[in-house]
Amino acid sequence: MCAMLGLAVFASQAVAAGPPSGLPGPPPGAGTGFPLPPSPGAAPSPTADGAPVTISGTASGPGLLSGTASLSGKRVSIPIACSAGGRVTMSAPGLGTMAQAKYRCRGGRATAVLTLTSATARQVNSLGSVLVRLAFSGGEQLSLALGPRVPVAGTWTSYYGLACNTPAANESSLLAPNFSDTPSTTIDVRPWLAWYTSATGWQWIGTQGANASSWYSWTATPNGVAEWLTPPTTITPWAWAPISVAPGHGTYVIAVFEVIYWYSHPVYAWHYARSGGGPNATVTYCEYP
Amino acid sequence: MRPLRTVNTHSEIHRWRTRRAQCVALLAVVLFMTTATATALAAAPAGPPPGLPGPPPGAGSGFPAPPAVGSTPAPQPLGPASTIPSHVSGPGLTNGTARVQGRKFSLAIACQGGGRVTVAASSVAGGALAHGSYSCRGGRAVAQLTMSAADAGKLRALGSAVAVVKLGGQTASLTLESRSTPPLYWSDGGLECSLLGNDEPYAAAPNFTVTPAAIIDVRPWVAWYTPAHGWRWLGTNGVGSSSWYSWTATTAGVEQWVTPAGAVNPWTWAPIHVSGGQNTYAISAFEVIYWYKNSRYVWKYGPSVPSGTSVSTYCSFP
Repeated sequence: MCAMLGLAVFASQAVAAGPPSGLPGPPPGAGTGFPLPPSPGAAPSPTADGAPVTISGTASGPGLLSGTASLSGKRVSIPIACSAGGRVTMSAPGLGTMAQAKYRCRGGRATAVLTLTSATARQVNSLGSVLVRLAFSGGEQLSLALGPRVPVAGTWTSYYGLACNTPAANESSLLAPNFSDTPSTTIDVRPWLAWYTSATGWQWIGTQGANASSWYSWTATPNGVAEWLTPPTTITPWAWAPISVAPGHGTYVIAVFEVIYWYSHPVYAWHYARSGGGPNATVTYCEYP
Repeated sequence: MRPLRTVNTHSEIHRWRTRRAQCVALLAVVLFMTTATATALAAAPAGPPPGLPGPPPGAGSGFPAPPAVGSTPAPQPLGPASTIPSHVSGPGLTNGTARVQGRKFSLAIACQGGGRVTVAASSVAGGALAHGSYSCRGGRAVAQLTMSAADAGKLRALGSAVAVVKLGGQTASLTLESRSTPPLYWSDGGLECSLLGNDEPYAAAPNFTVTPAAIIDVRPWVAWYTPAHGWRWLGTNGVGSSSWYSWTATTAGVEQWVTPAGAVNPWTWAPIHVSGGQNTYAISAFEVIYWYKNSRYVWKYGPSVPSGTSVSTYCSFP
């Protein structure tokens, strides 16, 4: 596929403090790197909770300001938080390399404008939404949801999710959504935390560190995850805590879970987890000034 | 520089002409062979296969012994990590089903050279049903074959039969049918084309159900097609060879695949690596023996799932 070279658009504005302009979109490597299917008849092995983690508020590589983007004709503009200029290559499984562009960084911001071939743009338009990989010249690999219109990601409906300032200020704790399904099926789940500061853009932490997370196997039943149920009615979901946030960076945090439902034909999904700002309050993300 | 040779006598002229003719003839043969081989390899029509692969190798034969009375199947191994070879030798069928009209039928062949073909079907006749030769042009040949009137009559009575095709040192299976019948597919399982990676399909066994419950033996296959080589078969033991796996099929599915929490994790064969750039198409097939008092054998294709919930005939790997 012929890669088109886009031109960088100079972004002269200073880094604006405050909340992100968009949500983080799909986690790094979304929709790829799946584990092998579960063994016939085998129950999932016991899983460990997520280890304590600290969000430093600083990052060395570029970050997206929004993890979703739409095509305008054959072009897509990707706003980036940056510390230096570079080059970005967009690719997707089945589509190969879709486009490349250089970008120049000014005032901590850049916009990479990528131009797809007409054929690739048509494919994206016909698919509706595509998980694309952005490979940066510094080695960073990020994901983006791209479509003819800005793709809208869902949120897991479970009460569980990211509890802000819990158990203490500048901390949060994450409980995995209580995945339910009919009929029962084995699921593999990959948890993520996306965090944003105006200086770094969206960055990702998994249970294996920056941009890396593990798959966890459970059984989703009509009543929730079988392995979390303690009779008669107690549910102890998988937890990741404490998540400590370094103060003073203006940090926003949201959780994302990828899931593979191992039906006869597996189904993959990624959604944001609910964030809770306090008793019964739901917010878009947890904020840490 | 070597001086030009002068030819003087009549006998010298005759010898020179003879040698020149031999050289020209040899050159022509070499050129023809080179061109024919290159044409055969280069001009094989690209694109999807003209037909499905037909029955797997040794279909309906090579059965395991019946299960011991009162026994339950032992735990079965998963399908091993496997690779579809990028190069294979010899001719292959491009369509594993042949329709017999009157006494005649034809076989579509992917080839690198001409050869002979013999077709036998034990359910129709003891010996060969038909044999003939074919010539290869542009990587393709069509062998026109004729069976006896008596054998054609038996086939008409049966409707269809699994035949064995001997083709240039290769053995393939073929469905001979006297009337067109749609291919049979298992309702679930099959080949997952790209979940594990662009060129890493995997096979999942259908969740076999049967009433009353019965022990079943299942032999899994993946057939792959390239324009240059036609249909070939990969089993869990390698090219052209697969194992039988024993389970218990019940009304609700395979007993051994149900997890303690009630999920169904079927037998899988993963990953299966495909070499990119070969314009490869792949489809799964599963043979099953139901061990009733009178055992029953059946083979069907598995559905192919390119992504999500869409279903197609083949997985394609450009």
